[in-house]
Amino acid sequence: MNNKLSEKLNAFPKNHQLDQHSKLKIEAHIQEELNSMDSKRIWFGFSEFLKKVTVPISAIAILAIVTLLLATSENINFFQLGGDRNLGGSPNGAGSPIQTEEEERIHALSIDWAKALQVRDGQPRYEIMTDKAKEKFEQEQILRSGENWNFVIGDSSPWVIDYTIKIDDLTAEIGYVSETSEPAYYHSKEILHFVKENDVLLVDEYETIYENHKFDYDELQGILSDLKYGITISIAEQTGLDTESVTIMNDAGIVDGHMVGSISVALPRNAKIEENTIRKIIEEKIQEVSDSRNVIIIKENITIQIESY
Amino acid sequence: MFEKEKITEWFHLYSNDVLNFLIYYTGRGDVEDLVQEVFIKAIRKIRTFNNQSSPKTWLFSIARNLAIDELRKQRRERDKQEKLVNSQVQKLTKSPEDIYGLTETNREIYRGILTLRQNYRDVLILRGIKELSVGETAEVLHWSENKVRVTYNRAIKALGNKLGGSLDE
Repeated sequence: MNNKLSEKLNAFPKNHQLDQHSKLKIEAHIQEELNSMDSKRIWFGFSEFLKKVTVPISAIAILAIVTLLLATSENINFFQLGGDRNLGGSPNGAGSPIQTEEEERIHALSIDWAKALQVRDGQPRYEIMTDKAKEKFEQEQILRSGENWNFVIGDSSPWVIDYTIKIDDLTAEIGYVSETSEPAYYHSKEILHFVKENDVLLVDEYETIYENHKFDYDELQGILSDLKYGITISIAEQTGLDTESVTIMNDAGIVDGHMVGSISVALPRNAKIEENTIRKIIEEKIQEVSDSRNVIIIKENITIQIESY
Repeated sequence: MFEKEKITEWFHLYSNDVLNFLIYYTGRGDVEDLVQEVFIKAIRKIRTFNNQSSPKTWLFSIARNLAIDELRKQRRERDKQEKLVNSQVQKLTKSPEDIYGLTETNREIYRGILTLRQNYRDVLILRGIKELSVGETAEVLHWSENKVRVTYNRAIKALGNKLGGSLDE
């Protein structure tokens, strides 16, 4: 069946061609771009140098501002939503407290699971799997290294440098941040479903939601623009204000593969909306953008400011 | 001067490959502007091109990123239109089914692919439909070759399940 399907895919037609008009038009644009590149060339070396200097400086500046705010501000709330069960943060444990013993156990097992990928040893994972999950794991390893399979998992590059864990009932969501020597950063997300067998919690199903999605400054710009758009529309809808009156300013950088930044919302003084509602909207949008862009965003890394004008 | 020749040569060699990839990836027929954007972006990023990798996979990689952005933009526009005018955006462009005159079975397979998660779609279109090798697919997606093999296998399985054995007919 699988071979048949592969053959059918291979046989899909792919002989469509650019028509002459489009071809000429594109060629003209290419030529134009190449000519303009020639004239810009003289500036290239200098601008590249500036880029290299400003990127680390802006990342350090953002980190410094966030640290300063965390250390000094008593008035700014950092997304402290009641009942949020994000246990996440890094393995060293930022986030809400774990509420039950079962959650504590699932959290601990999820850490073992994530660490196994970090050290590329699948054995600790295998030991906490149900028979069904073990079978799936074995099949994957056979595909990877043949009938004499071993427990090596993951890739040598990019390698995992951090992970976050969120628990929801018997499900754990693990976000991985990986890095290459370039350095370039990549994000991945995995979901684990736990079951209880004879009172022992085991991983019964695991699935990769996305894997090694590149997280770079282009992606960051896209995220900021999605957030700005989504938050503006949402606030405008809830307040009846027109979108022009909702001013959003956001800024962010990449620190150790994570997005770190701030979102500032300014509304007219007479706007009828609670501050908590705005925070909730922003938090929801961050989650939406994180899901649609396949990027792990730790909410504690984003500061919010709400102002009136 | 060398870069100029390189890009022009690549355009002649790979523009139709990029075109076909974009049609399947975006599910739209009017992707000529995207093809143009791919080559403009390639000119701007030419210094990041690693001569050890193939220009074709590099261009596919740019095309994929642009297509993802384009799909997001379309989704946003559609949401906006629906919110503002409360009406559906009319479908004005030809679909890949129309362009290639796909058979009923192939239409079903293609629609099945579009319902799968992104990494499955990626690997099925690149490796399956476009017939890139495992190595080439790995280069486009920045994955390891093993990952391409495993994901392709899972994707084919998922597609098979989605089609529910209708291929056996």
